[in-house]
Amino acid sequence: MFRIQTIVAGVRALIRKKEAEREMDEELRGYLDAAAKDKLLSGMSQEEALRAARVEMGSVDAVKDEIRRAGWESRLETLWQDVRYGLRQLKRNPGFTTVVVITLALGIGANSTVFSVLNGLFLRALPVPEPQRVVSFSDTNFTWADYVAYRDQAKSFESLSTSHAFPFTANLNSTRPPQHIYGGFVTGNFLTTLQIKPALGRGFLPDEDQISSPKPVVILSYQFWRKRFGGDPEILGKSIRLNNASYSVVGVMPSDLRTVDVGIAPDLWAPMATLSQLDVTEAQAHPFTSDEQGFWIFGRLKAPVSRQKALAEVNVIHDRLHPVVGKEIKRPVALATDGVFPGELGNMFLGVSSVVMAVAGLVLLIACVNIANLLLARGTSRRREIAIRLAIGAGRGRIIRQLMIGNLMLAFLGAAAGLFLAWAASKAVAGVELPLNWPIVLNFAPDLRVLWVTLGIALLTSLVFGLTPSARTTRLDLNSSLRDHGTAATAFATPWTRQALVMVQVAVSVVVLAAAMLFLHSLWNGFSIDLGFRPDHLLIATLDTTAQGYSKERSALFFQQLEEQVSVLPGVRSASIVAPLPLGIYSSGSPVSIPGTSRSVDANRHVVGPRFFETMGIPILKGRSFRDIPASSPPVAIINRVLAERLFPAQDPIRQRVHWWNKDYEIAGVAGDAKSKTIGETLTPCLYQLAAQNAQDLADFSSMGIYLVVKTAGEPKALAPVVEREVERLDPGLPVYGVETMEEQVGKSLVLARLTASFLGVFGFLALTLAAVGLYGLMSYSVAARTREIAIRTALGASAGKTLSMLARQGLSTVGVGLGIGLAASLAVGRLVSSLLYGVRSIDPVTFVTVPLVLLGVACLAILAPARRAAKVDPMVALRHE
Amino acid sequence: MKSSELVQGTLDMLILKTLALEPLHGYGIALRIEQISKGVFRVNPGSLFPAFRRLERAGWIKPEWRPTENNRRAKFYTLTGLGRKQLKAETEEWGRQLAAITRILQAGAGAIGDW
Repeated sequence: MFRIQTIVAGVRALIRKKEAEREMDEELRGYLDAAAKDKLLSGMSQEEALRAARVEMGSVDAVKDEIRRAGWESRLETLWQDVRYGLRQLKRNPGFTTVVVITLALGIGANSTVFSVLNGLFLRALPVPEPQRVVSFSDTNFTWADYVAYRDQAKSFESLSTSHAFPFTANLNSTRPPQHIYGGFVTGNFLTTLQIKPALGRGFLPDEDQISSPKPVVILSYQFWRKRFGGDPEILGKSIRLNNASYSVVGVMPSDLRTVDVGIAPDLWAPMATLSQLDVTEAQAHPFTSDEQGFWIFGRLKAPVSRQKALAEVNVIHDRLHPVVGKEIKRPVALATDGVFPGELGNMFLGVSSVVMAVAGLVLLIACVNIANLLLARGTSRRREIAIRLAIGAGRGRIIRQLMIGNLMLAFLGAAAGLFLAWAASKAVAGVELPLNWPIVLNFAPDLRVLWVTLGIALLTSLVFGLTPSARTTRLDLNSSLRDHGTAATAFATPWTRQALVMVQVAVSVVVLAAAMLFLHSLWNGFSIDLGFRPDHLLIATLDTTAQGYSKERSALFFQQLEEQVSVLPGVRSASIVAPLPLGIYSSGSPVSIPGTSRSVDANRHVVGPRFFETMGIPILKGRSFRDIPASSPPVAIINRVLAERLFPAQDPIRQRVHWWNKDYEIAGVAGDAKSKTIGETLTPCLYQLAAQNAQDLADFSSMGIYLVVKTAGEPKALAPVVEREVERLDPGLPVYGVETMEEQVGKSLVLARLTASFLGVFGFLALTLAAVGLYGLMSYSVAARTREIAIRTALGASAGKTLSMLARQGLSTVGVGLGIGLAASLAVGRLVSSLLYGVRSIDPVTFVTVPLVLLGVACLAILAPARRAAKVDPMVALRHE
Repeated sequence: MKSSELVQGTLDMLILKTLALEPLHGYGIALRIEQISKGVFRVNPGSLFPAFRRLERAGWIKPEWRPTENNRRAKFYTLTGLGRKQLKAETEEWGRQLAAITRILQAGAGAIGDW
């Protein structure tokens, strides 16, 4: 029953509070007087009557409180009182407040940071209207024909669009210097499906995406427009040249829409039908007739259609398009909210970030335990105050509420500081370069969702650290609390709780430290691994000649010339092209067989220049390298040691014939094993083809990038401009991109390991510090509480050494139990994360020796300082103090 | 004289009933309830005054400062029209419940006998 009247009355009571209070006083006084007068009449003395009336009423303040509580406004008021009380408490103990807020800021900040990253990767929706209705088809690949079928048959969607799963690369020739760009080639309904309003100009028109007569138009990304065209307001209608074809600019995307797929941020978008103008490879230029499965389908659900219904319809169409043949296991189509991180990399991130999130949670737990311990200690010193308040009629519930509000305020202060940390940290994480060669944009900045989650964490945190101390502090035997002065006897009332808390803390920090050590060890292994080639003094530059309109023959010739010219530059030892780049973004593999036999081995292959092996520092173990082999001679190949052993276990592989794809090759030599695809791979069979003999293979890789690797005498980066100038001399319109050192490239392939290890390393350090502080706190506290006991022992003849060893033994036994529990838990954790580790067993000796030692060392320091202080106590001083 | 706890939720009704006769101040109401119930019910101020606040908020009673016989002022409560309606409704409801409870208690004895 909450009518207007009640609200009005409440508000009025709030406004004229003083008057209401006075009236209440007067009314109650009147009541007392009347009651006393009655009793006087029944024969009591004046004094007796007044006393009896008072006893009948009980505490006047309690009655007044009851009356106030009858109106809703009082709840608001007491809340405000409690908040003010809490603020006063915070201000009164600035040291305590600071310690708690910093502890919480670190704990909560760790969690908010990890969540910000998860949010950016997996939760943040697209900046378009009603993003939850925009879904993408996932878990399987689609052809153009698939798309057309879904577009024409599915009734659940307002509109369905498609784009290539990977951005197209093209050379922008109309600017100086020329630039390699990434384009999103999309169907003409792209903007209408997503309901994007361009910042400038318009979206695509239906007739611009006609396969029969495409119109070459582009929409620029806001960032590309600003960077490359200086934000030219007159850009609309101007024409740019892509792969020497002319396109006119019709629009600029809004600044917040950088990508529709997480990360991959094209520089511009163009209708898919215009691909044929770009003179790219056959399959790419005519995606509409090829059965290439490279399409990514996304659409906007009709408002009333549920995702399940749409999913059912899509899979009916999917089954009709691709009936199951034999025992083939077909993956159904899934629908995912658009804008989440795709594919395998996403799953890898999810696995790793779950570990990091869990560890962050543990760090927060340790922080909570520390604060709980601090609060318990403070509760002990506030016993008397609380006992007095309970004695004069304060409800226990009210006091607990007050304490909890104080805790909540601490938690919120910590959360605010934590959010700031998260903001800074997530910015740093977003800046880390990923092992991808297309422009990636990750936005991990905390948004509203992160804010809410952080507040939720703060609320939960305040309950975790505050509930037990508040309950304990208010559960008092009033008599004893008021009688003695709350030092020795009562202060030691809850030793077990605090000891248990410290045990938990030690155990949890052991787990966090062990996790950090496991990943650090794994990262160390990653860095110290033998790559099979020498990454030092290597410069990489990437080129795409097909986009420039080169025929495959011209490309092959161009690269030969480039290799020769660069090789003779001062400061260059040797140079060679390679595609795919070892440990690069893409790879290529297929079975290698021996003609006339059934023997076949899956192998990766690289198309390389004649000086590849000396440039990379890969040894030729047998036979010869590719140097001085004419293009016109019969095709030769070099295989690595593993492939040689697997193909020819009993023979000399040299001069043997192998079959690869569509050609036979004679083995010219055997090279040492080198990493080909990933740094974590075990020995991978590998076949090297000579570029001059395989012009078609080379041209096929062009759009993914052909890499020039240069072995330098000095600092490789210093030669970058010289190499770029050499390319310009051969073709001024050909852009050079992806210029970096091999060491940078290798470092990028360890990015996930590095990120994980640095997160966990920071968390491990935090955990250790917090646990040490907790332990120190417990020791100082229990030593202080036992001053009297220690003094008596000393007075009775215990030596300082004996006292010290007694205290240390007791402290260390607490640590020992925690350590044991923690190590057992760490073993389980190690097994859980073993798949994410490189070259580290789950029972990693390094980890399981280092962690206990470090922890024990820190624990000893934390225990000894207070213990020594106690052992030096002068019994006379201590006993007189009581 | 032994006094009983009030049946839960009946205090409001008793206050309204008391005020139906004439406006009274706090102590007067407490006294009246005690007298009419022949001392069975004794209302302590800790429940009485919050009840006044509640009823006042609901618009069933209206407070008014008036001088008392010994020349001081006291807060008198008057039943409003709304309060009168509420009293009627509550009385009827109470009558129905009482009758029902009585029936159950009497039938219970017989039913057990039949088994």
